[in-house]
Amino acid sequence: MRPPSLQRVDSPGGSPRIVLSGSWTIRGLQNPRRLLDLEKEIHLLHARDPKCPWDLSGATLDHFGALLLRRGWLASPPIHLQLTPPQASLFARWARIPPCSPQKTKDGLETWLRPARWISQALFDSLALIGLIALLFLTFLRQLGASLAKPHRIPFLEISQNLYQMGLKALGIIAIVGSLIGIVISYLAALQLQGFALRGFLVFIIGISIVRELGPTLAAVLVAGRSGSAITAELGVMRIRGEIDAYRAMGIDPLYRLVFPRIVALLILLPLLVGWSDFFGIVTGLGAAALTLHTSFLSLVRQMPRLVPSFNLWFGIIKGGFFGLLIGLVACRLGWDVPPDAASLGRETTRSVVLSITLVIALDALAAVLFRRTGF
Amino acid sequence: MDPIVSFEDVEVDYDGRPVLKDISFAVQPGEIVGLAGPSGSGKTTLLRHLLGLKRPVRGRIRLFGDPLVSLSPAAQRRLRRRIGVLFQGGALLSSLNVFENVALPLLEMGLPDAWVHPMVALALSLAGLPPENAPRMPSELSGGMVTRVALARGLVAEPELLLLDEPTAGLDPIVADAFIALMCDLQKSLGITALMISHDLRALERLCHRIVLVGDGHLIAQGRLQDLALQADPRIRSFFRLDGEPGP
Repeated sequence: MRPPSLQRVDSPGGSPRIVLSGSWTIRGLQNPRRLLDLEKEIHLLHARDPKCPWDLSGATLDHFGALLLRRGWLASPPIHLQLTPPQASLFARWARIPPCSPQKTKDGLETWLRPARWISQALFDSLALIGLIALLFLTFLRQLGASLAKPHRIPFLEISQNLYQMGLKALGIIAIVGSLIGIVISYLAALQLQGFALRGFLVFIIGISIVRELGPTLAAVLVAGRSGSAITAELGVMRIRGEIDAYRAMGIDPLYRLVFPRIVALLILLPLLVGWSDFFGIVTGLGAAALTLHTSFLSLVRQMPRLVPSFNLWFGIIKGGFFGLLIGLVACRLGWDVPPDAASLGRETTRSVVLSITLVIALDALAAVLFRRTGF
Repeated sequence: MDPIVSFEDVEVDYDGRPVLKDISFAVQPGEIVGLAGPSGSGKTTLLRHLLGLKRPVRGRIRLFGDPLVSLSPAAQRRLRRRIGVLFQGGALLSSLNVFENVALPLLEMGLPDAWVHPMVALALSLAGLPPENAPRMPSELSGGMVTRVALARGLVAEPELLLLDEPTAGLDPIVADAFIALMCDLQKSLGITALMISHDLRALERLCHRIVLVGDGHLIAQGRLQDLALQADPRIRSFFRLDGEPGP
């Protein structure tokens, strides 16, 4: 491929002309600097002598080369232009092309109002999402009532699949995180209380913090990250691939087959996982305390029921149920409404995790305030 | 003139299973060649080999005269930029709008925005799409429009070779006919060179200068449709429904 070039040729006895040679094609011109230089050169040559004829017949030209020449000539092409028929059709085609823009056209007022529109849109979206989650909750309650009235219709297979995927497979990670948190709390508290002979207080701190707050919250955060995101992504892909419409077309309620089992599974699972997390947190917490305080592990275990009322254990487990319901509702709602494109699927999955965790912590804070005088 | 594409005794496999053997054909400049054959006969696999996404088990594939296998990955990428591809189903990027999808090959070449805008407008116009469609997302388009946007994306970088994988699949007959008419116009005005995989007999008949028919692991026949129609091979007669039998 010969590089594109142009030169002013003074023919003997005749008037000068500008001759183009080489490859004036997109591949010959794709160096941006060279492109701008050529555009400038064309413009200068044409501006200096607008009546000078141009001969393009010896050059290889495509639409891109023709575009470069049109830009260089600005609005007025040379009066005398020597072209081959295919080259002439390139210029004729460019003359018919309407401009196009990647954005929808906006007027000035709309530009000024854009920030206000963003804020109002964000508020509206938040309210709409709360409304949609509430609507899904009501649908879930209706389906739960209908299922209890006709137990043979309950989708046990789907529920058990979800229990296995979201519960059994999460036991390992929840046990590890619960154990580590128990150790951390135990060592931090033991360091502060060393020398005060406050062994009972240490047992109280480990017990109350794990069974009342950290056990339920950590289990919920792990489930939101692990299973909430998976639910949103699964439902989103089903929506994009038209599987949800296929359920409807077969006369099957997709909410009952896809959403109901997932929320039921989370509702059952979270309290169990909270208990699982509590167990490992307390065992490792008290174990670490026994090592730090040089005392018997069993003596610390025996003190636990006396110092930490059982209300706290049940409070944490019941909170877990609410967290499970909340994670299920948020994950299913966002997955259900995924717009049909790949970027939205990723965005909604991330949003599902962030929103679930935020709402779990908000609900936890609300519960802490409402029940601040109970369980001590 | 050297062929744009040539397959020389090529053998290809799919997941280690031999699919096609002894494949030899060429695509000359300015020619549209149809690659036809029953489902699962290895047509798309051949296309993947032509794009350099897979290596043939045996034989040689030349693209613009260069043997693909002996080229470095960077040289293969440079060659691919000379090709426009219309994938089956369009394969538009769902997170980008029509304009951005079409502009993608030009932006990849490093062209400034001021040059990209008119080229996208030209490609949309060549594909028969009004410019108002530029800000629309792929999810807002009909099947026929998706195919046209994919064609615009294939044409925007002025390819020397256009590869079309089942461009009329999933389109209703009216939209498919409109697409075939558009391709006929483009071939007349731009003189494009193309290799088209298709089951659509009308598309093959109206668009292609020659047809390469593959099946049963081999190249069955190649030539003009009129010439193929004279052959007695039952596989050819069945595929092109020459005996009134059901086709592909």
